[in-house]
Amino acid sequence: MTSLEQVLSGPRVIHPLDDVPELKCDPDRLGRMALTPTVRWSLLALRGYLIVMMMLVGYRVLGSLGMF
Amino acid sequence: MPPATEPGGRTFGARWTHRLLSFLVVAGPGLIVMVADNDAGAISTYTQAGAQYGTRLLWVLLLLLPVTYFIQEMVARLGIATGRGHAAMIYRRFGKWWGRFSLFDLLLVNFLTLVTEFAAVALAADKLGVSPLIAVPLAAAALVGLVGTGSYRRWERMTLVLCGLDVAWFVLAVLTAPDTATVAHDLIVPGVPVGGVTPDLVFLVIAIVGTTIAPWQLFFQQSCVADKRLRFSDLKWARIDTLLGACMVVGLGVAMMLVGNAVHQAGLDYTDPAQMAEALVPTIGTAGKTLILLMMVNCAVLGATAVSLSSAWAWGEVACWSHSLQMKMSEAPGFYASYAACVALAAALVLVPGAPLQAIIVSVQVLAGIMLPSAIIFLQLLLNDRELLGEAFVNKPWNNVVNWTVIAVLFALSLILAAQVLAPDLFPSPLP
Repeated sequence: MTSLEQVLSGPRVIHPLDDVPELKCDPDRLGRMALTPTVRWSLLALRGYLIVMMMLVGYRVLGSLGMF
Repeated sequence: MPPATEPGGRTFGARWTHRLLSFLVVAGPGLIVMVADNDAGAISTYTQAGAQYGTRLLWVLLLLLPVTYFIQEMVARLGIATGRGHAAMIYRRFGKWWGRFSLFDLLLVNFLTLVTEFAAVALAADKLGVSPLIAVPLAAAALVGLVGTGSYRRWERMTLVLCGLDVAWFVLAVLTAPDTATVAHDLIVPGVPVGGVTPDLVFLVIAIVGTTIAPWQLFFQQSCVADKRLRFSDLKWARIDTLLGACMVVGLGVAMMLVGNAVHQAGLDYTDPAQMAEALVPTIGTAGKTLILLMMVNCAVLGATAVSLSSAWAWGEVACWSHSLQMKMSEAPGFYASYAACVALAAALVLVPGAPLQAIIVSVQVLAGIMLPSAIIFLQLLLNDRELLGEAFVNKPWNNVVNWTVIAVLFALSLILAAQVLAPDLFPSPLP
């Protein structure tokens, strides 16, 4: 028996789309993420970063309007 | 000699064939996301780097290989664990505000990126003697046709063929006959080009990083993994798929930089990739020029399909529409309509005479700079979400050390890039 035949007659390789769907980790039953110190500080840093970027955009817009 | 046999009675040959087949059915999302990342903007950035600095910035690409792998591996892991896209996860776990912010930013930057892809198609078609008025609508129709077959597998196979065509960049790199010893040296040994560290050099290095790790990639691969319904047991193959993709994206980047290096070697001027193709005719011939222009179109089409799909998937996830390539157009009208609308609008904008393409390109850089750190922060937090993922899929401590380092560097680079684009006056004039 050749290798390929063995594969075909042995444990089958099933394409994920043809397989039975798995029960995945479901975020819907959990709601929002708990605000641990890491999460809180990360989101705070992200907000700070976005504020700085918005200020830069404002600086650019005001500059292009000839205010500097 | 009889073949060695496993306890289960299967030969080692059979075991390896089984593994290869297992990999082949899983492979796709990682390769596609990485190869599609070498889109029109990437060609422009890499060839410009080669044209300006020769092979001196090749090491940056090699450095980016593990970074791209680590980030995209997290995305694949999260997609397999949850079966959801990145936009859906942000929306569910961080609330509506962050979910809508991420979606809006993604849709905006993706649309503008799409415009640059069609601009590249128009530019290359024009040099090939085909009117952009024909080429751009044709490319848009092909892009809609590519996804509208109602079969994920058909879309994936066709897209992988387009990815395969990109190997032509390696042929083009060989045609330019670079000095292999210099290439090997500059790839491994970090160095600064002649002229020292200038704002231009910093800008270009940041652009290379920003081109190689784009925000849409995170959203695309996770949604693609979810749409393909990869199983928990597929994770190891998805990791290999992602690693191969990371090697491809860096390899293709090196090849593009080497083509740009030919301009540097010949002392020619560089304006854009299409002009470069014409300028290199004495080195690579007319066939080489045509190949570069065709590759521009191919890369732009690949980038366009991936970028548009990441938008359509994300929109569908947040709006709770049906959103799968496995569905027919009638079964997922919102998903296909948003994809087609993005493609059609971007194509139409490129054909408008006097469209502000330069302003759009700058906006893409800035918005991508804003988007990338926020998308990666959410990814890192989600991969540490033990309540959701359990111990099996959360990051290991060493994962976190590597990822927080990458995030800190990307934050700094994105900030510098956006500041340079938005407020160039804040930066000193070139160093001596």
